[in-house]
Amino acid sequence: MFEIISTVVFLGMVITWIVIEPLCDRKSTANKTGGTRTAS
Amino acid sequence: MIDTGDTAWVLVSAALVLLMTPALGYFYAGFVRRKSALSTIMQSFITVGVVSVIWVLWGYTLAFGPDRGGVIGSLEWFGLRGVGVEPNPDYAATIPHQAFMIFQMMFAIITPALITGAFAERVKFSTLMVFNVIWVTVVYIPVAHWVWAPGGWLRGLGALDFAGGTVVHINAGFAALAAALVFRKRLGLGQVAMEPHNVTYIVLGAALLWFGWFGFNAGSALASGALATSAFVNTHVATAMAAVTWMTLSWIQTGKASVIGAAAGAVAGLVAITPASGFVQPMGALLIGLGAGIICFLALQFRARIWKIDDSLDVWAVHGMGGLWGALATGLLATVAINSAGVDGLFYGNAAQFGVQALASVVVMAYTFILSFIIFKALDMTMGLTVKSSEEETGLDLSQHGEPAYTMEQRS
Repeated sequence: MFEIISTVVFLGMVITWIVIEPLCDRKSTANKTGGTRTAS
Repeated sequence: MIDTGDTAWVLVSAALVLLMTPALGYFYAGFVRRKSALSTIMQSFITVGVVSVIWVLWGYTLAFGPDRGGVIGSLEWFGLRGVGVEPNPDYAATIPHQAFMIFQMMFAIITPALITGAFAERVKFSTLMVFNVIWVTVVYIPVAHWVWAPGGWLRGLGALDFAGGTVVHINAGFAALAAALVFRKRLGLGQVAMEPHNVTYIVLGAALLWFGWFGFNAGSALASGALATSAFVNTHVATAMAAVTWMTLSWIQTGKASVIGAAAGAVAGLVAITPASGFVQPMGALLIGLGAGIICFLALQFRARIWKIDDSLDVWAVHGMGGLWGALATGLLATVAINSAGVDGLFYGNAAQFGVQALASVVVMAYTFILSFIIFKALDMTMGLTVKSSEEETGLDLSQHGEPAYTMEQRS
């Protein structure tokens, strides 16, 4: 059971890595003062 | 039955191999410009985290679990179920199974980290993270199974790879070649200076790699005894010879004895002796070191001057070609006088072994190149491989991590 939960949590993090940049880009386009990343 | 000496040696070796990955980060970071130094270290450092999690969840069982048709392990040991402290005689009869598992984890960690040198200063960090997950699962794990697991089809053919010449170095080197062909070049390559920003990091990284490599090779004996000693001695001899050889060639070429050349030569020697370290005599190791210095130096010249692909830190030249030379040299110089579990090579009357080594090398080169090319293309079409031009000009430290490598005021 723990193995399944751990795998789901880890794959959830992988999905986060995939979607985080498009989400951040959309946010910074909508609000140019938002976010902390220097170049985006 | 567990032997405490063997267990201590394998655990210490695992720690030594772990050290190699951040050492690689420093080695690579020295070569890049200061604005991307921290991100280069991060690309190796975070691989320790990502691949460790993969390894305990599904990596170890697919690589070393009960064989399925010679190509992959089963999911029987998913989440390390059944991988306890009792020895597994299929791998090592005198150490806990978990000691073998954690030692092998370190090899899985450093292999994708090696590839990062091919796309230095321009890779998008999020894409790199996803690449690590896919590549370790689809490329590293099957190749490790083929070569090292009981029932693996290349092992069944008799291919010798003591510590990872094919599994780690040919694998990483030809994935790097695929990367260099898919990634766009660094902005301004050939027009603006891209000198290494800190050569002391390069030497520090190479020195720590040299130190850690004793665990990589001598630890692969999986016991503390005669074979570990042979591998230890061979590792040192080949590395020393390759460092001296590359330095001499660079001295002839430029009129100066290059420090970077000595460091790169040492790494080339470490790479080349890896598959052979537990099968050859010290004079064989010396020859392998000599060959590594010459072959990797020439491969780098070919890549930079004729081919002109942007394999930024020459992963293909050093790891791909160095690993290939080491795998083939094992087929020439292996002798049962060193390792009764091995076989003789061509120079000891067994020409067939050279053919087996060549076949295993070609199979791994082709598999990793094709699969890696497809993975990079797919990621390019979906997430994008490289950062925006403005982000590359800013540097990856700030654009990808929001943290600079250096904040102190420069006084001299």
